[in-house]
Amino acid sequence: MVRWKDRNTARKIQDGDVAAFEQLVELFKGRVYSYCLRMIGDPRDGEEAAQDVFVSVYRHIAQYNADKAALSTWIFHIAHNHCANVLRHQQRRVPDATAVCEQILAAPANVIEAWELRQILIDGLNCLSDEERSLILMKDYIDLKYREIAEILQVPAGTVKTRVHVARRRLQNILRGEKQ
Amino acid sequence: MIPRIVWKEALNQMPYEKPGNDFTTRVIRISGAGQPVNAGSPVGADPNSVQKRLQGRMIPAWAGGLILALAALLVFGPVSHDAEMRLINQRVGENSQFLTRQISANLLSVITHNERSVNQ
Repeated sequence: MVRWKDRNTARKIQDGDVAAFEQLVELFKGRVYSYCLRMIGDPRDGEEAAQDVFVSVYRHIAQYNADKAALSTWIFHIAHNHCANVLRHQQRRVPDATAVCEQILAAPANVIEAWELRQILIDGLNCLSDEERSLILMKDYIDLKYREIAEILQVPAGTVKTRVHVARRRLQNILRGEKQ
Repeated sequence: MIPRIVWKEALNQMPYEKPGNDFTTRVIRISGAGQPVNAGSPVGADPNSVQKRLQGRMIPAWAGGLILALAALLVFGPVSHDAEMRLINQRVGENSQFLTRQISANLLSVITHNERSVNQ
């Protein structure tokens, strides 16, 4: 499958077209930053990670192959690997994740305002493992397809479906207030 | 309890966060965009993969030397052996010629001595 638009964009950036790169950053910065932020948990570190992702995209654009993957998939592949590296080096997931999880479990969940739901959801995501959080974010937040996630993680699409299902059930249990 | 449909919907509709205002400018400045990027062979999607890290890596000098030495031994070894054998054969030949000459000379001197004795 040839992705002409992605190929042209990559070629322009490779030829030193700043406008093309700027356009790419503008197009993806929200999604990439949101993903990095939700994965790493800290706005400053998340922004730094997103910045590193785009710098990496620029420096390795010559290695992008439009026949193999969409540009968006390639960018999220870099983002996913970068966040995994950051988390590995930091030796932590999110600040005080355990305390946050306990708060969710203790909170009465019968009356939840819409604005609270978002925060509870974010806290719930932080109670998941890095891999589970990453899967839920890629599928339900960034809205990538199973096939695209499979390309990013380099596993079969069926495996991704199973893992996403397990991660969703875990999150559901956390939001129900059930201890894992 | 938050029903699954509710949190999935909420997550899906959660707006993307925005990085700082100067994010794009910073990325462009740090990446040095504007300079043509060196072309490379397109391989996969992960710039950090082992395969990519190995690409373009030079063979260490000592390994290169070792490989060259082994190759030289393999190629020139039998030739050197042949040359050595040739040299030995040549030496043996020379020696045998020398010995033959020595023996001939000795024999000649004995014969001459005998002839003189008989004559006397």
